[in-house]
Amino acid sequence: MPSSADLSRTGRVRLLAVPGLVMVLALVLVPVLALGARTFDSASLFGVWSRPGIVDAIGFTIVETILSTAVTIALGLAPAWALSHHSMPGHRFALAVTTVPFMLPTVVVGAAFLGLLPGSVERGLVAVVIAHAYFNVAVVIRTVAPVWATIDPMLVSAARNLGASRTRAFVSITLPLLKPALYSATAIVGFMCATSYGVVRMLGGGNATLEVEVYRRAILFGDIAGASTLAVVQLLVAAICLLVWTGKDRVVFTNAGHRSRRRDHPVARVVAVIATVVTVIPLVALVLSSMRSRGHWTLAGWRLLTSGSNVPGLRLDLIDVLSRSLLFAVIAAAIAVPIGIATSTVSSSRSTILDRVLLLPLGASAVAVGLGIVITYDSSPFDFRSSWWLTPVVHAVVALPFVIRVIQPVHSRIPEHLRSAAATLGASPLRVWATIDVPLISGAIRTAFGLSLAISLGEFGATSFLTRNDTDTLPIAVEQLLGRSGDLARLAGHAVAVVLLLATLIALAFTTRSRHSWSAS
Amino acid sequence: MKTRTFALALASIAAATTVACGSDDSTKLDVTLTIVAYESFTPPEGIFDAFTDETGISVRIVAAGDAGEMIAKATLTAGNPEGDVMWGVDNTLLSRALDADVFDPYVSEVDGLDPDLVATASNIVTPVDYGDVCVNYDVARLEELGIDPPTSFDDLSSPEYRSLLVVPSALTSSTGLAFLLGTIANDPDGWQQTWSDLRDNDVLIVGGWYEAYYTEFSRYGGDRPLVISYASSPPAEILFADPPLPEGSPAPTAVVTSTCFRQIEYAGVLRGSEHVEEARALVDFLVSTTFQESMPESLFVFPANELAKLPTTFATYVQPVTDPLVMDPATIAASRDAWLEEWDAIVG
Repeated sequence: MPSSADLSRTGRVRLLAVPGLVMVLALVLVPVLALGARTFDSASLFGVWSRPGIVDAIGFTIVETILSTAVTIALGLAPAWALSHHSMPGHRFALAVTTVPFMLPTVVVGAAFLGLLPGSVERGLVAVVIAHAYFNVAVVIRTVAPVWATIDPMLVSAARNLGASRTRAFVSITLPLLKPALYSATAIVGFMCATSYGVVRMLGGGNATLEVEVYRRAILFGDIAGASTLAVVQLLVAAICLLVWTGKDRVVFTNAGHRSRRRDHPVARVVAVIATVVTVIPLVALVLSSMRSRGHWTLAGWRLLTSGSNVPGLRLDLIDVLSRSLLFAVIAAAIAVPIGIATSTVSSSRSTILDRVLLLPLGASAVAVGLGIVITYDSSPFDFRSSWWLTPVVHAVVALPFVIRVIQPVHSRIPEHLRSAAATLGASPLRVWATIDVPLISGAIRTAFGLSLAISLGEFGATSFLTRNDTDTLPIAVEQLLGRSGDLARLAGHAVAVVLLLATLIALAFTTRSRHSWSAS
Repeated sequence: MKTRTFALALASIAAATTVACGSDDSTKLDVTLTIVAYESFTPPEGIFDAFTDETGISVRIVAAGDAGEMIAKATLTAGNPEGDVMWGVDNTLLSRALDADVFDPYVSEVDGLDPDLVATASNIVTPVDYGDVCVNYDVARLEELGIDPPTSFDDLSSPEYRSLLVVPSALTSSTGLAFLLGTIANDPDGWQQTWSDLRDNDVLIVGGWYEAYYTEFSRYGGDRPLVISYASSPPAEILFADPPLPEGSPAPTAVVTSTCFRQIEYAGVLRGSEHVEEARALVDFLVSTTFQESMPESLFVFPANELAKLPTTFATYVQPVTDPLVMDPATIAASRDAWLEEWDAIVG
């Protein structure tokens, strides 16, 4: 129930939702729908569904999404529990490392991952599910752990004392309390898996998701009308899923006032170590592969990066690319974080519909968004097509749902009576916000900033479609180098990938406080 | 869309004014031309300085994605392009650009341009380079296995080469598509049989060139000594070898020349450019020997201008492909979708 102070603020507070909504509208909804409208023809609208492969793609998308999401959630629970229940030296490192795969472009980790799959796992459904779990487990950890940390251990002990088994206590006490966080994680992981492109193309063994099918139709067949039909339908389905989902996902914190004491649990320690090691192996393989060629150790790839390469065909100015990537990341974070704070202010006191709408970019086809932006902003005074700032702005839209997931739970836990007290003492709403809200969410802001940086550094979806004027970012440099044959091309490509890996790791490690996860406080 | 019409009207007034001013002032200073290119267009630093010195026209490059993505965007923005000149549409994609009326017709008449290549360009664009997509093999691994290199498509289906070939999918990779077109050009009536034989001989189909070359090809730790790549890959294997190969050693990989499918790339003036004359001059520069001689080592393609000299690495290590498989862009356009669907049904 909103308090009376709350109601009086509501009108103005609602305005804070505007920037986030405008961004999603302007950079996702309008472009995709404009693409659909521009290329619309009734023949494609119906005809595209009878194309060979479409039905298979829909089937594969559904099966792959359900399996991948279920496996990811199941695998993520143990590390989420471990990382929410104790703090050990290296906790922050463990959190950062398990998040890294989610942030890196598939081509980078995918290849290392491919090399480590046992020979018996052929390309196909199983490989796709394993890879999705590897890439997305971070979402479960980051979403579930902070909620788990707030569950009062007394509740579980009480149940155990009354004779409940461990399983029973988990199922009837812990699980219901985790439900909102699990819903949230399921929505994000589901969207990530349903719109997966790189993993499916690399490991799918000929299977396609709808996203791959959109790409094929638009780029390989040149059937943009068919592709945009699929993309619009995909967006509608995503929107319907979000609407249906809303309402079941109200984050309720039963003990919002106090946090549980963290017990150091030996099993938790083991689980955390295992999760870290499993995540680290492909990353280490990547680092080693940047220094190993034909059975020899070599720094040739790294030298190429540091000497300002003038090797013909492998032109690369690492400092230039790295500084541009960092600049873009800072801009993206500087846009996403304030909008995320504004949105959280609205959605913490209201329902989470808004917060769900802002998830929509994750369910949209990157190909359609990229092509849509090109045709939407193509005439003066809105000819933004080759504006350099378009890239970081799109990064910000991608980062936004994650930023909100960091800030909103913390913000919603601020007791209303603190604000009321300040208001009673004569503080203006802005003053209340600045002196009460901001200090209490400052930790979350820091984490959100780090996540935005990491997401921007690794983004390789819609933005790879935007035409750039000498604006290569790290993932694009990797792609360029790995498009050439020869040892040096491979070594340098992997070395740039390692730079990207390190930059991401640093962004995450410096902004993640130990103890609390996605949402630091 | 009212605002759009208004914007267009404004733009055309602005354009008219510019033209009017231009006729008063004959110098061409202060024009900057934009080349729209695919992502891996990496000409040497400073290569356009000569052009700028001579004409006063500056050049900038905007790039994104591969050639297919570039064409998808170009067809959507035909008449209102993102730049003045497009680099890199190839013969597998050209007809798509022509259907959408992306280009303002211009064929350069620079000396030395290969007339056979020009003949494929429909009098709309100018050929700038070519390259071949062929079966490459790992010389050392085949020697270890005691197998002679294959010499034809048919060899690839013989038991001797069972489970040795890896191919990028024609449905997700332009290299894979080029190889499929090669098999069709090689045997227009029996290519389906070629593929069902390949399938029965355990060909491995992967998503893209990168996975094929860097994860499955035996030279990079995989177990398949035959891979679909480029005729320019063997010289790159020497140029980029680490540790460097001893002076004069043969390339560690080689090409089965009878399987080579020719990809021709074109440059054209984009319809809607406000600097058509200047854009034409830039296309001429792109096929001049100055630019063409820089391409082999920076883009790993062969010059379309026959007067351009090849660098030594290329001259020495490239196996000449004297009789490549070729296919007319119009033929490709007419049947590509049907072929891809048929192909998918055979190997899928």
